[in-house]
Amino acid sequence: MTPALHPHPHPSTLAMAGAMAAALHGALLWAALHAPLRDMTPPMISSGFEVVDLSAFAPPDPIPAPEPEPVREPEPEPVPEPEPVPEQAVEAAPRPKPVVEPKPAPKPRPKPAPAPAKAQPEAAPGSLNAFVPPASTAAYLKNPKPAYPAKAQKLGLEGVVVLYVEVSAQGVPLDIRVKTSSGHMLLDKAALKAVRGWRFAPATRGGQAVTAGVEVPIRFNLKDA
Amino acid sequence: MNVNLELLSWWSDADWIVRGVFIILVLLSLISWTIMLYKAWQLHGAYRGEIAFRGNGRPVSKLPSAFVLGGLTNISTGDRSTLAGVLMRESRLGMEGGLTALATIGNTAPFIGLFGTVWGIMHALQGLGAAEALSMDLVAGPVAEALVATAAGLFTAIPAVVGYNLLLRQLRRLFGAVDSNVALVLARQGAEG
Repeated sequence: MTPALHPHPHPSTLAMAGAMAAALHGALLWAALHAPLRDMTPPMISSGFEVVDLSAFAPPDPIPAPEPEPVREPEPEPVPEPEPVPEQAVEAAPRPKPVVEPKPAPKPRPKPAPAPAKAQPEAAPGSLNAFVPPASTAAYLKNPKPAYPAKAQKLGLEGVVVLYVEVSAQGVPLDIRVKTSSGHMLLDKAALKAVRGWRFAPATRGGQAVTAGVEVPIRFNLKDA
Repeated sequence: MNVNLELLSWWSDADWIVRGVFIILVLLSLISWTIMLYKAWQLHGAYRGEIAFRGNGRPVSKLPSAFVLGGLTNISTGDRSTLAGVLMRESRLGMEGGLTALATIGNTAPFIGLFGTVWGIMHALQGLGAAEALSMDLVAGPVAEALVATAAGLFTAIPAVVGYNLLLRQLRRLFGAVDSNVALVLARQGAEG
């Protein structure tokens, strides 16, 4: 006699509720998939910055290698900077000084003269240990320019960030650190972000690709923006 | 169509435990939203029916008061009020269906998501131990990926908890109305007979 209690839901209403829930989730998923990419796209491509291959003048002190002789700067490419050459000469000169005069030392170092850098590149490629540091400038790598953060532009922030990048044998940056800050977090971060997506020409030792570190300086300059 | 590739790459990077956790959470979210929409509709309709009834004439057959009053026919006047209470409780239990599932989802979804995150971080750290070159990216990437599971858990749990509380309030309001309607009908019958 008692009217049936209705613990069991109406199939049609339940199906409608389920369809609405599914539609809700589908819409959310669609929105998530089509959400505008967060700062993935560089806002200002034409901004001023410049990538200088520091490895040409600052010794990149490459990797913990077992060989006793650090062969430096085989980088033959001409760098547009005017200053590096004198700086390097000054830097290289004081080092060998104490070693040179007394006698043919038992040092394995093949060149006793403080002749800077010029003598090595020709000797290096032939030798087994010839070390070529990683490079980010090769045209085929198509590395995107770092975006000049709009906020930094508004605030007039400029500076040079020097990043230390550990490049794998595959040319992928393994570890990126700020070696010298530009003094502005914004610029440092923009540089880090850009370089993280870069590809490098891996360092080679005796023709074999190896993991090595390289310094990548990035200059943010409003004048060129 | 420019699809946000971050999500797709997350999916392809995740391992199967994390993916399973994510799928389970999406299913739970679907279930909880279905329950919430259905119960909201059901309770709201019943409440409107009770307000319209108010002891006049006969209640529409699906209403809780129809169930209670239907059970009171051919019962002696003295026993009616106690039986009404019992029938009311039974009707309330019937109307509560689904709320327990909703509460369970609201309580457990964060833990399920947390499990996925812990699993993901565990694997990230194991991979870290195997890699010879330590780097920030080796840690940051997998940890950020693993945290998606926690986010999914919270995404499932928060609506479920809010919905549970709102539905509980709707249920109380409905049975307040049922209570007074049944009392009203019994009082009128007492006055007649």
